[in-house]
Amino acid sequence: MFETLKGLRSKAKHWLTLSVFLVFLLVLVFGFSQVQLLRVHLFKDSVVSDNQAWVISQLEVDYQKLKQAVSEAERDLLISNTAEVPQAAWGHLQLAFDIYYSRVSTVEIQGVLLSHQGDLPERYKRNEALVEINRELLANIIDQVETPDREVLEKIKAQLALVEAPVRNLAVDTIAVLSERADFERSAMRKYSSLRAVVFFLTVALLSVVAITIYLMLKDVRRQYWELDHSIKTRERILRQISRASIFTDSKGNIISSNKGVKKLFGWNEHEVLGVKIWEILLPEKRRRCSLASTRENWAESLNAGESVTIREIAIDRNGWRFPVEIVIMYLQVEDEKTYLFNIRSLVVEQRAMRALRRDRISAEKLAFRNYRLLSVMSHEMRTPLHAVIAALDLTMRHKLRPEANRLIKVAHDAAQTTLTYADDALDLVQIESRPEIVRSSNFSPSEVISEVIEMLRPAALQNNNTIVSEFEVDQHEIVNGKPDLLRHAISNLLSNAIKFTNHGKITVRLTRAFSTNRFKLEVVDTGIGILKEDQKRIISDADDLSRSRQSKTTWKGSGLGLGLFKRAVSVMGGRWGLESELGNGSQFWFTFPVNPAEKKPVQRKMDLPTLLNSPSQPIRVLAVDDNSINLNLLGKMLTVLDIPHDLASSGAEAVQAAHETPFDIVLLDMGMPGMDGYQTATEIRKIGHSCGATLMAFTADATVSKDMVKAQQAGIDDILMKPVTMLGLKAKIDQHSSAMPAMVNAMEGEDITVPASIIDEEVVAHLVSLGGINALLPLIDSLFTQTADLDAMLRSASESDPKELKAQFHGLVGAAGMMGATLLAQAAKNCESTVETDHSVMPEHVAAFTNAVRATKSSFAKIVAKYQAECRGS
Amino acid sequence: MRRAWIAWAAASWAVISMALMAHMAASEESSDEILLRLDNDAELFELDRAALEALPQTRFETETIWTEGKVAFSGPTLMSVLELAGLSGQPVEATAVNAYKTTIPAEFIEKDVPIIATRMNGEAFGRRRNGPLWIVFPYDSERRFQRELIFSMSVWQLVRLQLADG
Repeated sequence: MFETLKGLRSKAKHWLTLSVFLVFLLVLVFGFSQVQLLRVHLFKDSVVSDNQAWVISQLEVDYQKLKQAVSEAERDLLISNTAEVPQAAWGHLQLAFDIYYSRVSTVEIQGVLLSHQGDLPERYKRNEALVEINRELLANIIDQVETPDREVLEKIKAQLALVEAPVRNLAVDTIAVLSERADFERSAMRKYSSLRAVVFFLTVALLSVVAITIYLMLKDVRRQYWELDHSIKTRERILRQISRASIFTDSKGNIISSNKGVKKLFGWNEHEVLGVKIWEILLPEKRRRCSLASTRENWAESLNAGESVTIREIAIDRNGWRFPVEIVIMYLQVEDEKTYLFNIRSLVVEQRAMRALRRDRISAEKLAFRNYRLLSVMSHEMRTPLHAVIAALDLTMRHKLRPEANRLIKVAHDAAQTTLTYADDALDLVQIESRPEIVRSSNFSPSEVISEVIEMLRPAALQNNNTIVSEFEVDQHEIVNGKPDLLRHAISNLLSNAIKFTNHGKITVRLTRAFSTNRFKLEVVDTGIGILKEDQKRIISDADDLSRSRQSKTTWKGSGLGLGLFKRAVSVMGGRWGLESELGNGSQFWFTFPVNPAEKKPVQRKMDLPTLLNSPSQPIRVLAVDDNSINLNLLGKMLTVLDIPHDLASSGAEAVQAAHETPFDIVLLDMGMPGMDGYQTATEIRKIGHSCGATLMAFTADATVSKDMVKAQQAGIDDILMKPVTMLGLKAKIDQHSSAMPAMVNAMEGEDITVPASIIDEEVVAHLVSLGGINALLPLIDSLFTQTADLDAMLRSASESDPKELKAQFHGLVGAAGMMGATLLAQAAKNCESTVETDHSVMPEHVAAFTNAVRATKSSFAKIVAKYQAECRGS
Repeated sequence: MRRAWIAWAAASWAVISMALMAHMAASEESSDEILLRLDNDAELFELDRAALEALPQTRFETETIWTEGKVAFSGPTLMSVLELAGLSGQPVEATAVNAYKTTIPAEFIEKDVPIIATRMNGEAFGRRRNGPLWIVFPYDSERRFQRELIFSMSVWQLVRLQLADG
């Protein structure tokens, strides 16, 4: 807006200058015309014309009078009848002639004056000359005559006659010349008059233009003054209204005005800071001198109208107190005046808040991490003894005990299992909560996983006299890619709850496809006690679970963490969940989970038994590290059996020492060791030494480690074994890492190895023998084979037996055989277990393998027992 | 042709001027002649040169439209002459020898102006030179004398002054 005005003003200036110039020009023209008019009006010239017309007309009159005088003289002469003209007449004639004579002289002189004005026509001059000459001749005659007589008169008359025409013509010509001159004068006057008129009007017009321009400019100036004034007033008003500290400065940074906010923030009154440079007031000296401050001034200068820049600085108040501020500098322009508006905001409160937030966040993170650590350590510690307890109880259960004892042991066993589940669940929840991204995706069969869980919880269900029914409306062999662990957590959670809150009822587990091909829906419907509407709301809203409110019903069964794990698992899987329930009418929990199509599995190579057993043990050295001496011993014995040269270390430091000195190919690391733990040991080994390129395998009972791949990889760990380590698993791993065999699928989980087993893990047997002597072992072996016989019977009457029951039996056998070290048997039983329900066509093959395994195991055990008995007897 | 004409004109002009001189001289009148008559309706006064030149003489130089160059006119003021007849302060009618008459209003007759010129450049001048008496104003001196009215009142060959009618 102000720029256009400026343009207008300069245009006006140009117009003004032009106008004034034109006025001057007009004045000059006017003057010129005036001068011309004056010239035309020179008195003699104009005057002459009027008088000359008179004079020339009088010439003719005088001429005629002379002629008349001559005629009268003639007449008088005649009358008097004398020879001489009478005196009176002659005197009269002389008088007339004198008059005529003087007239001609006047004409002459006027002719001269006329000729001054301009050229006279030739004719005029000629006539004039004629008249003059004639006059002289006449004068001669009249003057020289003594006695005027008739003859004289005749002469005079004749002479006069000669000049009649010229006189007349002279008159006419004079008039013509005079009128011509008059016309010229008139036209000149007219011309110059009109010129003057034009000039006059133009001058008037120009002057009025000038006047208007000046008036407009004045108005303009006045308006600008008003605007400036207005802007100043607005500025003041704004300043007063802004509660923050606001300062207006001019282009040099001198303070023009400030508001109450400045007083509040800095302690300066308005009049105290007026005219002071803003940076001198705002910033402490050091920061002023600092180059940054001057740079900021340059920033301020580089602003265009309306733009602003925000900077953070340390300001200083009147008392020398320093505090952080945020300054917004805005550039305003009013006409030529540059004004800066500084808005200053104290950041003290903000900073304090930020610091507090940060502190809280850090402490929260620390707390979370501590909890996480605690839980994982706890679970690790818990699992190890729990495993032992479970194992011991398992073995004990195989003894033929009194029903009472059996029952008690079963209770203890279940309790231990539950505790283990608790620990697992707790850990899983924490894992999922804190690091959901770690949960692995893998190929799995949803129906298989679900069936596993169902079987696992069937005993618990039976305790409450509940039956679990599964309905799979999907292809049971279908394999997809997803997160089976989470699925397992979800379903086991739901199922446990269903079992917990149902008595003498039926629990249905239904797997269907929802909406599209990559979404499954699982429903768990129970005929239990149902859930109150308020409680339903609480469940949905992440509140505490039901178990707390129903303390009386809660036992150590089921997941004490309620539905938290379930919800989290479902959400991480990317699914939705819901529930429907009516008090007294049971509940219906469902969830959906999306999956991806199964990834292609690399080819598995099945090695047959002889090849494996006879494979030449490559000259590899293995280092085993474990702080637990029994475990270490066991490992050592396994390695010996496998014919692998090995060294043992009972601490991280020892292991590092050994690894540095000796080139090992494989290092087996226990993760949970005091002092230097597995990670640290791995890191150290990897640094330098002969074993820095070795394959590092961690084995641990700590479930978190398998999920802590990132940390493991960072430490340099290549693979993980789960405790309890079976010889099978160990051998497989070692073979895997020492040879050029293609990678095996799911090599992480020791349980999934499909390589055929050696028949009996003799170290386990030895271990068991060491625990309770060979006599203790015998009953175990007997019970094992009782189980297999039962199974055999069941298999033979396959059509009658419940597949579910078969599956359960096989499952039990797997555990027992594993415990005993009958690895082949365990494997065969596992194969049967997995296929008994799903794929009957494969059954015969597996059953055959199973039967063979039984036979082989029997004979092997016989041999072993014999051996030991011989030893005992021998010793 | 033109040159011849100019030569002839120049020659004739020379002749004329010489003749002029002679003839103007030739027409001088005698000193006793009555030059001017004053008529105040009661009395007729007759003045000759001597009488006129006995009055206080006024002299001024001026150019006129009837003469060439600056001429020094001298003579009594018209006022002083009219006073002889008691005609001062009244409009008078001036008559020239050719019966030309004009009325001169009283306001135009001032104390010093006009004069009745009796001499031009100190010399008396005859009829052939617009004389012997000529009412002359000092045209050059003031603008107000440079107009038609004054010219028409500049009567030459003056013979009579009388009280104007009406």
